[in-house]
Amino acid sequence: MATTTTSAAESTETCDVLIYGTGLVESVVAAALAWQGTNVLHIDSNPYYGGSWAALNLDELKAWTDRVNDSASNNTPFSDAYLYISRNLDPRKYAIDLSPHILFTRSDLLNLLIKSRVSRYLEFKPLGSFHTFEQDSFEKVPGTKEDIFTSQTLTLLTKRSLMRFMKFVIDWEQNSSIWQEYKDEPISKFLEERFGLDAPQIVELVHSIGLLPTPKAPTELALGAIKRYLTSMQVYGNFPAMYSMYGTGGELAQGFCRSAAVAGAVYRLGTKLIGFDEATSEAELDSGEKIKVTEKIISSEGVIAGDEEITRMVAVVEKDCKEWFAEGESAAVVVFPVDTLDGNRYAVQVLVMGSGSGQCPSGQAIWYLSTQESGEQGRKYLYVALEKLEETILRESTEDFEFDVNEEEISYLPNGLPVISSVRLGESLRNFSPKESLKYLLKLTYSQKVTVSPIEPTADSKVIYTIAPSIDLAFEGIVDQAKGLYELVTGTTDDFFDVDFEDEDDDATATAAAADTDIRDVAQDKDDDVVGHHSDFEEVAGEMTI
Amino acid sequence: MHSVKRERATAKVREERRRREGGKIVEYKALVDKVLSSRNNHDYTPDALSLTTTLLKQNPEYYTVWNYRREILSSIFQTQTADTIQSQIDSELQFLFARLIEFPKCYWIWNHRKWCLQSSPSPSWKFELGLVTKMLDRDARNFHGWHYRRYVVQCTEKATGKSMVRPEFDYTTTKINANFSNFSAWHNRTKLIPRLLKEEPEIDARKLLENEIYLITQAIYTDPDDQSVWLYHRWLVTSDDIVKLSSDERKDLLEKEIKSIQELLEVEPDSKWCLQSLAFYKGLLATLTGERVESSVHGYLDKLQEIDPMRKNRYQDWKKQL
Repeated sequence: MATTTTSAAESTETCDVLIYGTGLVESVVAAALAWQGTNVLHIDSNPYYGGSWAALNLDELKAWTDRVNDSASNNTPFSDAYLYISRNLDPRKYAIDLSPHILFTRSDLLNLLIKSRVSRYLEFKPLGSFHTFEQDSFEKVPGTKEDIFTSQTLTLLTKRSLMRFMKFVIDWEQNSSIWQEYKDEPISKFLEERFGLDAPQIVELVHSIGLLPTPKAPTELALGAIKRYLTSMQVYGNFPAMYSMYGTGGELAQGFCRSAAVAGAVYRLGTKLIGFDEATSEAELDSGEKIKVTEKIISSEGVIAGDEEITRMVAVVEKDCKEWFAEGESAAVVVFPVDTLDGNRYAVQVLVMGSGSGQCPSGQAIWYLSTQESGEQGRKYLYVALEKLEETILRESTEDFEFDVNEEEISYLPNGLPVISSVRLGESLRNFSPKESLKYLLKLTYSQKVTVSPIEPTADSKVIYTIAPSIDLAFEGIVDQAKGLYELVTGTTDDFFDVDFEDEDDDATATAAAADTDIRDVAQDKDDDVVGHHSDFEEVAGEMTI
Repeated sequence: MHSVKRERATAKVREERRRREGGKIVEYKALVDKVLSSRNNHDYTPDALSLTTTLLKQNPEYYTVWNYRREILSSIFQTQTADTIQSQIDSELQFLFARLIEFPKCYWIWNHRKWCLQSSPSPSWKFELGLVTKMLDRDARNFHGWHYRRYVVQCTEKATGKSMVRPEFDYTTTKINANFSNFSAWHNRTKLIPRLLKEEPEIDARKLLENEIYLITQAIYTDPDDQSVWLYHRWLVTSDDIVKLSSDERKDLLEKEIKSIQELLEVEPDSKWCLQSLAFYKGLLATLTGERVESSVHGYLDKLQEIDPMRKNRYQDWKKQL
C-alpha cells in the first residue's frame, strides 16, 4: 500500500515496485505482484490503459498519430503513421486496436485469465473462420476430422496424409525422433518429406493454421504453432480462438490492472516518469513528485532493441462483411500466403472485425492487415491485399452477380453432388466488375518495431524493460514474460498468482468473511491517498465481494 | 493481507470428509431397508411412492425399486380417471427427464420412461422425439438414446400412419457428418436403408449403394482406426438388403473394394482393420469364385498376429480354416 506523508511543497511516496506503462505484460506483472503483497505503483503517460496494446477512439487515434510521428519525442514501438478519417464519424463509436491479437482457447494466457478471474471483467466472442487466399478466392481451412471427412475437394490419400499429420502434431513433443533432424529446417520441407503433403495443404497448415509468416519457418517453432490451433478446437465449441469485445489487448491489460487495484496497487494515468536517481532510488514524475522505489522499476517505455519492423494497416469499411463470418460470429482471419500478391516474401495476415466486436458501429467492419515486410515494400503488399479484400467482399456481397452454366460444364461426384469446373468459375469471377465501389471511412498505415532480444538486466539493476507487443496474430509468451519479470523482482515464480480468491469448502466461510472485511478497509484507505485517473477502480473497490 | 495462499488438503480435512461420507452411507442403507420392507408389506401408498423417489434420486441403478415404483403407480392408477392418470404420468416423465440428464446411460430410467408412455392415455410422441434429439445432441454416441429413438419413431409411425424413414435417414447423415465415429448412427442407417428403398421405389438402389460406399470410403481414409466405419463397410459390401447383386456383380464389388483397401494399406501398413478386412474380403471372394484363397491373406494374418498379439490365437485359427 503506497503511503503518503503530507508535506506542504512535495509529497514523498514509497513503493516497492514502480511500473511504467500499462501494456499487457506489465499489467499482468502488476497484478501478480500486488496479489503477492508487493506495494505497486502503476503509472502510464497516456490518459488510457493498454499502452501499445490499447484500442483507441478516433480522437485518441489522431493524438496518437501526431505523437508517433514526432520522432524527437516518440518512445513507442510505432512510427510512420498515415491517417485518413472520413468526416462525420462519431469518434467514440470506434475502438481501433493498435496491436490486434486473438486468443487461442488452449493457451497459458487464457488459463491465467481464468485462474486470476480477470476473465470475469471481459466479454469474449468466438472466432472460427480462418481463410486462406488461394486462386483468387478465400478458402475456409479444414481444421477438424469432420472438416476433412466432409470435404469435397480433398482426395482420399490427401485426407489420410492430413489426418496422419494432425494425429502426430497433437503430440509432437513426445515424438522427437520424427522431427528432430528437421528441427531448424523449413516446416514446408518437413511436411513434404515426412508426411507427403502437397503444396495446397502445406500452404493452409503453415499460413492459416500455424499463422506463420512463411513456409520457411523452422519446424520446431511451426509444429508448436500448428498444434496450438488444432488442440484449441472443440474446447468451447467449433472454434479455436476468441477475442474480447472492444479490442482484446487493451481490455486484457485493463482487466489485469483492475485486478491489481483490487489487490492494492495504486494507479495513475496521464503521468510521465521523467527521471530516476540511482543513488537515492527516487523516481521523479512529471507532476514534480518523487517516489522512493525500494525494489525495481519495470518500464515499457524507452528502449526498443532491434531494427526488425513490421507494417500494419487499418481500414474501416462501410460493409458488415458478414459473408466472411461463421454463423453467430463477428470476426474472421484471412491469410494471403507467400507469393500470392505479386511476389510477397511474407504472408499478409488480416483480422476482420465486424460490429459485433464492439469496435465499430453496425453496418461497418474493421480490416486489420499486417505483414513482416517493412517500409515501402510492406505498405505496397498491404495495399495489394486491401484491393483483393475489396474485390472479394464486393463480389460476395453483391446481388447482381450472374453466372450462366450449361449442362455440359457440370459433372457429378459419386454421391450426387454437382461440381462446376473451377477454371470456368474462376474466369467468371475474375471478369466480374462490381457495379458499386467500397467506401472507406478510415485508413491508417504505420510501422511497428519488434523487440528482437530484450536487454538482459544485470542482477542489481533497478530498472527492467519489458518488450513491445509481438507481431504474432496470437498472444504468445505473455505469461512467460510476465513470470520472468516477476522472478526478477521476487526471486521466484512459485507464488505467481497463487491466490485463493474464494474458498469452496463450507469450513472456510470464516476466512472469507475476514477477507471481505479487509477489502472494505482497503477500499477506504484507497480513497484517502490515491490521486489521479482511476475512476474505474473506485467502483471496483465498492462492488468487489469474495 | 486479504489474499489467502492455497491450502494443501490436510489430513484433518480428509478425515472430515470420511466422517461425512460415513454418515451418508448409514443414511442410505436405512433408506434401502425402509423401501424394501415397505414393498414386502405391499405398501402402495403415495408415501411409499415418495420413498422410492428419494432412493431412486440417489441410486437410479437399483432396478428392483423401479419395479416397486411401477407396482405402486399401477395400483394408484386403478382408482383414477384417465385425466388424473395422464397428469401423474406427466409428472413422472418430468421426474425421469431430470434423472436422464444426470444418468443418461442408465437402462432402468429409459425403461421406466417407456413404461410410462405405454401406460399413458395420450402420449406425446412429438415431445419424446424432441427429448431424444436433445439427448443425442449432448452425446451422439449414447446407444440408449438411439434405441429409444427407434422406439419413439416406431410409435409415431403407428400413431400417424406416416413413415418417418426419410427424415430419420437424413438425421443419421447429419450425425455422421458431425462425427462419423458413431456405431449407433451407422447401425441405424443399416436399418433404414432397406426400408427407404422399399418406400421410395424411384431411388436407384445401385446409385445409393455407390454413394454409401463413396461416403464410407471417405471415413475409412480419414480414420482407419475407427471400428464403426469398417463394420458399415462390411455391411455395404456383403448385404443383400440393398441391392440383389448377381454373383458376378458381387465379385466385381469385392474386387473394387479390395483394391481400394489395398491402396490404403500401402500408406498405413500397420492398420489392423485394413488387414482384417482384406483377409475377410479375399476369403469371401475365393468362396464366390471357387478358387483358392490368395496367399497374401496368409501374410495379412501373420502381420495381424504381430500387431495384435492379444488376438493371436484367433488369427491362427483363421489361418487354419483357409
